[in-house]
Amino acid sequence: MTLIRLWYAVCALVCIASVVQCRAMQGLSITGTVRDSAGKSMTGASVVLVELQKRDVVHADGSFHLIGVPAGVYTLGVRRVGYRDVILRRAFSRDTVVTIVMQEFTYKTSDVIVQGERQSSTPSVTRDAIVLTPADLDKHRGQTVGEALQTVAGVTLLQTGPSIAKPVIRGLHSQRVVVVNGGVQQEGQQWGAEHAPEIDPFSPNKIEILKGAAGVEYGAGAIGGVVRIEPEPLRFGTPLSGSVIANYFSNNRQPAGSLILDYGKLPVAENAAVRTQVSWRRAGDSHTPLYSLTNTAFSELSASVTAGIRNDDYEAEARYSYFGTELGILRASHIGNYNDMIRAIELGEPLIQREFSYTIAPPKQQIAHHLATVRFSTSTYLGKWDVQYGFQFNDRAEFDAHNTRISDSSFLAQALLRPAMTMKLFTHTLDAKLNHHEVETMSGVVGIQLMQQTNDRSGRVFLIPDFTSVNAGVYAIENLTLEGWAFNAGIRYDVRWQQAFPRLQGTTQTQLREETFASLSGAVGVMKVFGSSSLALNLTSAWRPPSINELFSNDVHHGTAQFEIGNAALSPERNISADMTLNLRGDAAQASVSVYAQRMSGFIYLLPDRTNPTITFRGVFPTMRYVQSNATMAGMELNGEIQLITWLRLQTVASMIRTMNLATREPLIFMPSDRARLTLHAHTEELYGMENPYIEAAVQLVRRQENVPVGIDYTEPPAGYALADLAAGGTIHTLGLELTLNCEVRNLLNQPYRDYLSRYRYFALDVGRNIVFRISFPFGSQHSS
Amino acid sequence: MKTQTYISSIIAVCIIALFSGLAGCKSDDHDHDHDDHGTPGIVTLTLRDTANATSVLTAVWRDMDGAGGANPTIDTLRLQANKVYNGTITITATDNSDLTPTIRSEADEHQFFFGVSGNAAGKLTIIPTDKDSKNLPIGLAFRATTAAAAAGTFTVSLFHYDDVAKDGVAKSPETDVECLFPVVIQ
Repeated sequence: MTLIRLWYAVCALVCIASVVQCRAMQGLSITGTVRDSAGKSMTGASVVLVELQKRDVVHADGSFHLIGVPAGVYTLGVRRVGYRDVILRRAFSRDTVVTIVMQEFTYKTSDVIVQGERQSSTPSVTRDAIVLTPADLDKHRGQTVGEALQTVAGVTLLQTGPSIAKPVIRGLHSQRVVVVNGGVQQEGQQWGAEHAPEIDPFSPNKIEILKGAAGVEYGAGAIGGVVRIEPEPLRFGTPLSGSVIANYFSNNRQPAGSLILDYGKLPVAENAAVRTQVSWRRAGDSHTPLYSLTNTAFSELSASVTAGIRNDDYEAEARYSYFGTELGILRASHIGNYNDMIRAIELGEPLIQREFSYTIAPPKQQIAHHLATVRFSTSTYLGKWDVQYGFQFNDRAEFDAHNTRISDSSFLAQALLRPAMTMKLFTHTLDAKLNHHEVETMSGVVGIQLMQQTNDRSGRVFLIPDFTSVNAGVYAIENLTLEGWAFNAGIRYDVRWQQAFPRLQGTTQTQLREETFASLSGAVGVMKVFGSSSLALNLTSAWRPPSINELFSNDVHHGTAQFEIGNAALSPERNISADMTLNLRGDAAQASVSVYAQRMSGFIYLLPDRTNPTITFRGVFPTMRYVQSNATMAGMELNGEIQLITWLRLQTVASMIRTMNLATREPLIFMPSDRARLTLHAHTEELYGMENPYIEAAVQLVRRQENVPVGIDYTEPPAGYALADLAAGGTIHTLGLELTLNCEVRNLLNQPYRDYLSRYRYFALDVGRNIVFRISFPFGSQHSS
Repeated sequence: MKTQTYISSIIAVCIIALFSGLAGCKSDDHDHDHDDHGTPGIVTLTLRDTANATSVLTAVWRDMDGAGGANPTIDTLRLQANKVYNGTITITATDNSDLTPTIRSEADEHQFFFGVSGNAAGKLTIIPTDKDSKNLPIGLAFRATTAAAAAGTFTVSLFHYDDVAKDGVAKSPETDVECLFPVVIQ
């Protein structure tokens, strides 16, 4: 029953955003005074009764008068430059006198932290996202989006070779992490550990990482965290401009490049702007220090067109982007059965090793991702409205190396051209939200999110069935800032309905399954600001319905050599988490320390069913069944920076996490091991004609993962390792160009190592030394004229 | 809880109505599950006593519904002690086509390996008797020699060589077929 009451509360909050009209016959008068906190008259401030568009300007004595107002509920807005907007909403049933006190926009330290320095777009003031700026991202251009995130404490990568990297936030990934690309939640086949987000690595201008559950803002599923990717805003008013980026990676002999063209001064429309971007990457086999990784080549092509219009009343933007990739899967990781897997592990290095090549042969993946989106925003007296519609088409084909092996050559060749599995996922999303104007010092947002999705699979592999689903969510978040304090509260209700056609266990027939999941997410937070430092405590609760593969998967997962069986009886998982973050800022040093703990109810994972191995003509496979149990996860993160001398800075990023499956009293499997990264960064303003030159040396220390469940994994976790990286760069002016150059050596000492979260670790080492050259330059006008 | 489900379904219905204009609901009237003609379903071992041509033993490993689903039915291979048998292997696909000729025609890329484990280890010896064009064993035909009575497991595996060269000794990294038969020597 409490659930229903909460649901009504959410409805009520949304209704506040809509205009209630309630008129009476006779006119009333609304009069009053507008002053600042010192009692000074706010002469010249505009006063408006929003619903009736009745206006007045505050007189010299601070008074205003609105007459002929029918009785009803109205929104009264007061605005003056340099002061916070005041919005009052109340019922007027008789002549009324209102006293309004306006708050000056001050830049006290508390406000600087709470209002000014926040770069992230997260709507909760007590919870700041980590922001990677264009400068941070430029250092990683040409690599997968995931790789740029690795520098953030608490973010690691689940990697399947050099071309597939999924972000792991505080130990959670895949369907537990939401990726938002240009305002639209990325919908690919996220459930697969070897399915990376389909995003052009050259497109992000800014990436925000929200660690921990963010169910209120992002809905059912955002139980582990959020990665928000923002392209560069359109350059309104700027004539033709653009940029060129070119890269080369020595390890896999990968050239990569990107071209951006901006036009913000169209002759046809004054306030319009367009951008086109094309990016390309082509890589051959990667190399470990000892041997090459056969069939890890990839080829990637992306393009996007964005057009926007902006004027005083509204902003509108339309965007289409395409991401296409063809990528090889390490040949040696694609095995026939469990015994092959054991032999491969015992051998310790790939059985199939060939000369370097750019060839992409089966096993491989071919993916095309189309995203079309339209966004509209406008400001009203209630606040800023944002409406965004997105359409995504994710077209994935996976090719087995041993598709129909026993057959004549011509038939085999033909069969290998045909994917073992194709999945076409169509997604429509509609997001609408209202960031209401500040009322006193209260700000907030209410919104709805709708999503409709259809998956169309074909092929021999039954890891995921055909399905149709509809998701709807409604949420409200409010923030209140007071002297030295900030408070935040949010609530959300989500419903997910789905219809799937899984293959029945033990038959080749499909059946119809229909499920509805619905639940609440909530968050509260408080932050105390002292000086330029702050301490924040946030409590969140989010949930996630079981994903389609967890419910219905029913096939061999090659590469892991296990037969995965879904469990249609799974219920949603829910977490309750607490996060405490201390931000310290001094003149020469700053640090951020987070500690967090969460309890997961009904955490879904794969459990080996040792007594019932799956027997197939290809041999015996361990049977893995999706089960759920309660679990706890706790950890801490440190991000520190010390300015040693004016030109030298020491940075430290460190994280650790501990987990426990409460059913078995053992740690959860595949959790990131403890790690730290130390970076020494030297820079100056100018050196031999080079602007902003820098040199940077870093050491990455990763401990062996000791906290693993006994006897579940095929092999013991790999040893800990230390890697050294070196980078240098700067900007030079030559040939009329502003050239930014950068050279980086990753794994400088060519250290052989295996990361615990590398999916290839059973078969091969991680990649060795990689020398990266980057060159980029802008062209055309860089300023609006 | 009942009310909650009720509210949820109302909301779900409303949303479906809202979205019905955007995309039609998918029906399950199409079948995408193309079956490959080449998925082995039956592995048959036929053994003839070299001393008595009329004595023929067969053991069948059968799984016609593919991976997963119902477990295969597997016959026990019952051999006499201290005998020599000539054996052959046939493999039939789930669509009942015979895959054996294909393996024979691509003999240079295929090889069977045999394993005996349990108490029968050492009491049953298998030697392939057929050769490919490079004079390397294939294993579609073999000689089985039994010793004293014992019971164990007999493993028949077929390896395919395309990424690595077949040398007659090493297994390839990828197993095509691997079937385990209970074996009794009596």
